[in-house]
Amino acid sequence: MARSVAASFADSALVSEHEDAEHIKVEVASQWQLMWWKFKRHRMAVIGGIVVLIYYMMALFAEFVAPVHFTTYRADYVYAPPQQLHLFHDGKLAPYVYGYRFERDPASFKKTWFIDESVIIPVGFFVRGEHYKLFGLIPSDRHLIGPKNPADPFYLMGSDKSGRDVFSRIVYSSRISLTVGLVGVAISLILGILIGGIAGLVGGALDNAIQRLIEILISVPTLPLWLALAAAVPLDWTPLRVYFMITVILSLIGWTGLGRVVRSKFLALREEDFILAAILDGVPRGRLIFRHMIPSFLSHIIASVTLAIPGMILGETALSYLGLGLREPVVSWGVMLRETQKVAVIAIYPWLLFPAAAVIIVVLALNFLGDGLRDAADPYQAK
Amino acid sequence: MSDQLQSPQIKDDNVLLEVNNLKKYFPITRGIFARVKGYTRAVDDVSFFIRKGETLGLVGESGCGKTTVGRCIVRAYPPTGGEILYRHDDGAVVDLAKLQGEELRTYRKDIRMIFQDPYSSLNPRLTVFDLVSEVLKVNKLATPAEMRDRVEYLLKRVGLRPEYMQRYPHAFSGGERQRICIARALITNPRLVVCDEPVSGLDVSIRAQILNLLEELQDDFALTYLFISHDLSVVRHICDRVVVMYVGRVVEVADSIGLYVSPRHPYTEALMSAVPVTNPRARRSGVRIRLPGEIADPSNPPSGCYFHPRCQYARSICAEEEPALRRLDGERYVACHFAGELELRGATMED
Amino acid sequence: MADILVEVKNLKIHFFTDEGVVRAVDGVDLTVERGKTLALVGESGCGKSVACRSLLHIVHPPGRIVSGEIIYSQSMGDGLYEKVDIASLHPRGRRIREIRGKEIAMIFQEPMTSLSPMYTVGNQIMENILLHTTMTKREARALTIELLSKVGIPKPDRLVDEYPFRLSGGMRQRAMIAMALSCNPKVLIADEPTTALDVTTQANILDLMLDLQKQYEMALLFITHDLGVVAEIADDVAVMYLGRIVERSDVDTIFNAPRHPYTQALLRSIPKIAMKRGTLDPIKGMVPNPYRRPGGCPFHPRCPQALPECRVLVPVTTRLSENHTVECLLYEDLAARKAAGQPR
Repeated sequence: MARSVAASFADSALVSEHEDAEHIKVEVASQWQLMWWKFKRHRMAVIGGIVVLIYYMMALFAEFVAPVHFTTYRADYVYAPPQQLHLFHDGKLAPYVYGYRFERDPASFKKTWFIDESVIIPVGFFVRGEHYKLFGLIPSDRHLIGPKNPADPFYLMGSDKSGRDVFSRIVYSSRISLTVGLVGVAISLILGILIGGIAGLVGGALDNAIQRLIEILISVPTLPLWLALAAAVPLDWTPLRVYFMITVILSLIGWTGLGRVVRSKFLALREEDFILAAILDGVPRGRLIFRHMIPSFLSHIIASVTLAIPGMILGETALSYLGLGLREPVVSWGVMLRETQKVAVIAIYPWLLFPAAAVIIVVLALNFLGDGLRDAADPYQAK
Repeated sequence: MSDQLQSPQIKDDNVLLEVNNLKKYFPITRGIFARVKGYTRAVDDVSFFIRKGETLGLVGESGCGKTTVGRCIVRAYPPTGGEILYRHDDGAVVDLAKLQGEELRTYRKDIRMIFQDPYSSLNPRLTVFDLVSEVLKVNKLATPAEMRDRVEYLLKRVGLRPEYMQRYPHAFSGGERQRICIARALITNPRLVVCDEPVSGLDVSIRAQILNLLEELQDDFALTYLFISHDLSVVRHICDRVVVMYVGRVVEVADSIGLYVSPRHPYTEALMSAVPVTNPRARRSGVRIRLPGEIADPSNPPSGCYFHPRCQYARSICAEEEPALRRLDGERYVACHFAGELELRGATMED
Repeated sequence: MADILVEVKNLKIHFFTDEGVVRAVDGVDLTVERGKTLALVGESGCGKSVACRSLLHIVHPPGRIVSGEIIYSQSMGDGLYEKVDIASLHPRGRRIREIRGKEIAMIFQEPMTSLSPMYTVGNQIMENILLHTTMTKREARALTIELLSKVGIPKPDRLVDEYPFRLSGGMRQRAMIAMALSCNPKVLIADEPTTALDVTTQANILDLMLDLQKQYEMALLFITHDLGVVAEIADDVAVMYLGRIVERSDVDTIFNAPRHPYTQALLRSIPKIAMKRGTLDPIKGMVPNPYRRPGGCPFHPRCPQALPECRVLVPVTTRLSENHTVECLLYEDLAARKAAGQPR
């Protein structure tokens, strides 16, 4: 008797004897592996992911990547235009940039710098330059790229009003601009999961109350709120304190999006048969939530988080640009863009807008990455 | 009603589960503050019993409450009223409706459920091994080594290759998934299994495989089944006795042959008449009963007998007084004022 | 009067997905005749729904008709007929839209989702009427109310202004039938119309459809997996498996003298009310993965009567009698096949 049933299946197992290795791979694949395969097919997302990775590497190793420190200035190279990097000289791989010459305006005695193609400045990789301590611990003086002769001017993206290297400042800015997003999102994540989870799991009157709270928070107009808070921040606070203040403020309002998503996921899951089956198995509440429910939407959370980071980055950039956020001597992309508020500046020194490009690229990359993650997040759907 | 201080009793020694006056009402809420406006009487005074080792069918159409009865029995939620008397191995009887917390936990392993949809009843993020063994794990019923052995044994018994236990549900077809669900239900050596439409979501040719499997396992594991279904042919095939429900109430109980050949309640007669017959030659013999109107709304049921607005035999008493479920003879119980008086037609036999 | 309204010849519909090509419909021949009911029976993955959608040219991408003809004989009045190959029409062109809803109508399985929740029932039915006829709005509304009453909806003059969520499943299905009949179609395609309904409601809807078929002299193409329903309403039956029609005959022959092993096994495996209780006879195995079809006859891994040749040779259509075809090597002249050398 038992054999007849088992045999009836063994015969259909015969069909799957034709399984090739590829097919077996799919069947034992965990949800993470399925996600990864689906994600890989989304080309823009993969490119976005690589770009984001490059940015964070740049932020991590800023001292190494940047030719000079972000405060280093040379008063005699003010508003110098960008030097284009050439890789081949006389057919050989020998990177170089052109040097500068200046003209002095006879009326104002102001110096204006121009690229002088007769001056060749050899450029190298892993060259010696300024001293620094990587991560504050490891002393070194090697830089990823720089002039072979440290005394030569090297401004890949030009220099600003104090003669500081725009490229180096962009690299160092990434530290602040990219991490303010992370801290804020982390706080939003915790708040969103906690509050959204309680709303979805408990339901009833509590859920009702939390939903109304979310709606109130969302309808608060953000710009006037920022202005008010910026005015309230004491002037004697260090830039670092201001930095944290900003992230906390941004995340106290920003958790609502994630909270709603988490709430709706929990609500939907409560109705699923497999959750009822787990309850009937006698699974206690805590294990039910963490082992049975959360893995179902963990991937969605990851995708939501990845899409929330650009918002934080843009938020900080906007605040600092308006002067409500970070200020000199701390450097961030928003702070750098403060110098571009005069039309005359943009007309004559357009390279000061490079920080905007940096923001745009990383925000786009994060969006593509988040899109790909979200599409891959449900590997079981859309089969 | 039984004295609260006395422990519950089941009169008949052969009976494993006795449901008395079971009620389950769901509140209907309206408005922004979710005020309760009324109740959907999903289960409205249902009584029946299940004998040890038998397969009891529970049939009815949408809104009849059969799924809710099943879920009350497995205590997916507490009933609004009534008793669910369960007899232990050692003879002690307990009322499941009143249990809570830890006491309820111990019964979870005795009464298990198989769900209708094999696609939504298995968590796609857990392996087959995790899914089948979870109940053992959380109730500490076996050591890890024992767990592995038991899972292996059960997967083999339901016809699956044990080495598949590391796979995820998406790797399996509907029929195979249902086998996994059966393995999960049986891993605690339960005494009663509530099967909620276990084959309705499967392909026609696979149903036979699963039905045969269920019957086989019933013999081997000494199981008792409560088989909930809307498919009368399947119920006829696998059940010993059948309970027919309409809008939260029991209208008829009979052994499975008797119910089909000679129904005693007008609704049962209409059901039998409506079942499509798999024999084209039997087609036009006997005019089909066309029930007027729609199935009554459980949140606003008719007065008296819920079926009276659609019943061709209804008289004035039917709108005034609710008929009680009375025993007619032997296994037969009917809730109709004219039970036994009406000449009703059975299902068309095919040959 | 043309009796054969739709003739499908060697229809092939393939789905082009990332994982590969699924041959959902793989060489299907069908005829739909006026006044008669053809039941298309099969289990999941057999292609019956896709085949019927192609009659209205509504196969969803990534599916596509790759070859074959769907010849519809359209009445031009005065006993004249024009033959149109639906498969060759542009799916969004004017010609096919003249046919959809007017000549060939369709009702679907899920009454919950096939009526738009945004418009009233009357509005949706009137839309079909106004699209295909020159009636005024008032005339169309009167016709709609008449149709609703014909399909058994109570108080049709009130219900015509209700939204679908107010109606029960059975009522919605009746409204769908009313919409399908609104322009007197010659062919009605019903894709599992009663699968989601209760058995008493199903009985009423089936009776309704048969009554209306007689009244309107329609051809009915009925898709289902429920053999009981087939026995009740069909004149002819076509059994599908993995995209091919494995057996086709009148309903009596299919139930009482089936020839194809799949048909026989299917009939043996379903529980019937009259039968004695005992073990059912299941079909072993499962429907194969559509991305990895078995070679030769698609049914051979599960067939209790498989021959060694079944693994290699694909069966061709064998005509057993005037109204009975089967695709099975058991009924072919294997010697002649081998002599010819080609499997297909």
